[in-house]
Amino acid sequence: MRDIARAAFAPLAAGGKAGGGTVGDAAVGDAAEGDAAVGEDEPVEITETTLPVTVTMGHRLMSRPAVTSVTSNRRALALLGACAPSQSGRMTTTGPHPENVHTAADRSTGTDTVVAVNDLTCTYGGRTPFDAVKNLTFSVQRGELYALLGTNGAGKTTTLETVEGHRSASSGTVTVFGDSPTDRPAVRPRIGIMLQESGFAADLTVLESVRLAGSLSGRQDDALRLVELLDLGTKKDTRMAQLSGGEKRRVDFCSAIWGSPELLFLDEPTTGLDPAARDRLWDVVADLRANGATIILTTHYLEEAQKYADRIGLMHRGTLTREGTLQQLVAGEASRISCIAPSGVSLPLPVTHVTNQLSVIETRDLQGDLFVLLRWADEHGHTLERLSATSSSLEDVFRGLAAAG
Amino acid sequence: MLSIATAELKMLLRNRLVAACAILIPLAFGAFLLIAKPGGESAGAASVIATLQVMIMIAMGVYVTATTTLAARRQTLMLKRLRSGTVSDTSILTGLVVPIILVSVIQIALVLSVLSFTTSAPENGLLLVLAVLLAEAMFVGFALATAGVTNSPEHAQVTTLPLFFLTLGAAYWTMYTGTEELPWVKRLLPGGGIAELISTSWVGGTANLLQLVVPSLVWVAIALYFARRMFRWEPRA
Repeated sequence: MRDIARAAFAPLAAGGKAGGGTVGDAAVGDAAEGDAAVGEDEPVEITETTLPVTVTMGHRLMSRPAVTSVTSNRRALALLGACAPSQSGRMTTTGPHPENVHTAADRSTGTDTVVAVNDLTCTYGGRTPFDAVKNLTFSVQRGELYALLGTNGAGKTTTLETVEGHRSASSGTVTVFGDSPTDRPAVRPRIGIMLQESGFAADLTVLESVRLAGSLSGRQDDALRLVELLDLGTKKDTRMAQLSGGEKRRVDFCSAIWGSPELLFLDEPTTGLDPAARDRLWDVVADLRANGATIILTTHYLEEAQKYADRIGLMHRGTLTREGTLQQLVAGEASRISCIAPSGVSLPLPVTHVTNQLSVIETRDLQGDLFVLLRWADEHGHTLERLSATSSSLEDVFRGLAAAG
Repeated sequence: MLSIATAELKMLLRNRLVAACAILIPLAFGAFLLIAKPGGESAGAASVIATLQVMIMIAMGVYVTATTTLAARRQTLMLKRLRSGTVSDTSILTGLVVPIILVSVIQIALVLSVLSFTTSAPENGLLLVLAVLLAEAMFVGFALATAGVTNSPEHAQVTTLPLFFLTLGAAYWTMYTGTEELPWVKRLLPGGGIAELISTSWVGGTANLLQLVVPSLVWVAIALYFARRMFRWEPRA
């Protein structure tokens, strides 16, 4: 896929310096970080900050999640023109990450249901009982990575703990591999659980902690192998009390993947991890998935769900408000183009709002409207300072959900 | 279960201050009783020492320690982690309290052996073993129940006080006032029947053993019933 992308953008690379950008590299980050100035003499950065961009040209499908820098409006136009609707194709946003697409295509994802949650309600008692989860229904298929996202207190952890068998449903049914999750002898040997908080004994060493968790899992593995897999080899004899929060999370992960479980629960797995440790963790998850593991993830890092999940469920106030693939979830969301408009002239597109001199244009046709804007700027010799183009993202969906109250 | 018990024992021995407090304080108290010899050197005095020593060592070494340990394991979410595996709840709890019971039994064996050599040996060894086992079971049950209402290890210092004083009070009352007055009141108090059992095992006696064993068994059953009802696995209900 990267080769196809490189071939598609070869004229650009051959036409001038690439300005440091690398076609084909993933660029994931906050939209606000993607601002760049556009001018004849300044590098232009068209930043696909959150979603990979798929360019459909004839029968070819290419993914380009790249940060691409070019040296002028004209080059930016050349880039966009290669894919402009009137010329050669159509640009749409899609997910998941290209590496994931490749994996998904190759992976033999079965159609059998691993987890089935049907009309689940979980009520907390006390003087004022309340439903932490209400009438929740979803299922997870073998080989899937299903991300359960939501606002604080949405009921994600309650749901996850019920599916794990840590708590009982007030009503509704939950099955894991066809059995009740509270049936430990039947279910637990097949699942690994990474809890939201560590829960390790402070006076045990890293190796002892992993071995203890492993000895209770009903599977076989080598603690030292797992510890080294997560780059904790030098800490293997260190007591848990002396580890940092991130290191404890890695030990937690080691314990959860002991014996390569068929179903892995990851409850905010990367909280407190540095970027390198996160990458390492996701590499290991990718390996597990390549071997057919099913993953259920909750996280507040939306970009991780966006990048790795096959399907996403969005929870709010105990219910599943939306569910689907990334492209299904973001389909109704607008993309944004923003720049500082040249003084004394009006932009050729309707401006949705202006914030701190920055004119924001919301659009359902990011590529087409960006092409129009850049052509206009090129023809009239205008400089579009702090130009930024941002695809609709999961964050937009999430913020909309939270704002809806 | 064995892996949990091994881990608990390692933790107990690694934390030297905790290990010292759990092992040395009851032993020190026993040494004091042996040296002070309240009541002289008669068999009756030895039975009083044996009874009070056993009750104190189990109340402190098992009841308070197990309550504190369980509250700590729940607070740090270790209980939840242990429940993520295949083993049953009973196995987890057994693994957690077995090292504590083991230490307690060794302490009792040491102290009572010294007492036997320096004063007099127990008349009925089997009855003594039964009494110790009943006391261990009752205090473990109370520990599980008390841990259910103990939010943290620090709270255990307070939440264990009522039952600690009630059981030891019953034992002291029985030992220092005898069983002629209000025998059934004393036997029906938690620890009263067990105290009389230990004393009887040491000096022998005419008491109907069933009248001592049955109330003690009832208290074990009550303790385990409340343990089942009150114990919590997670900080958040």
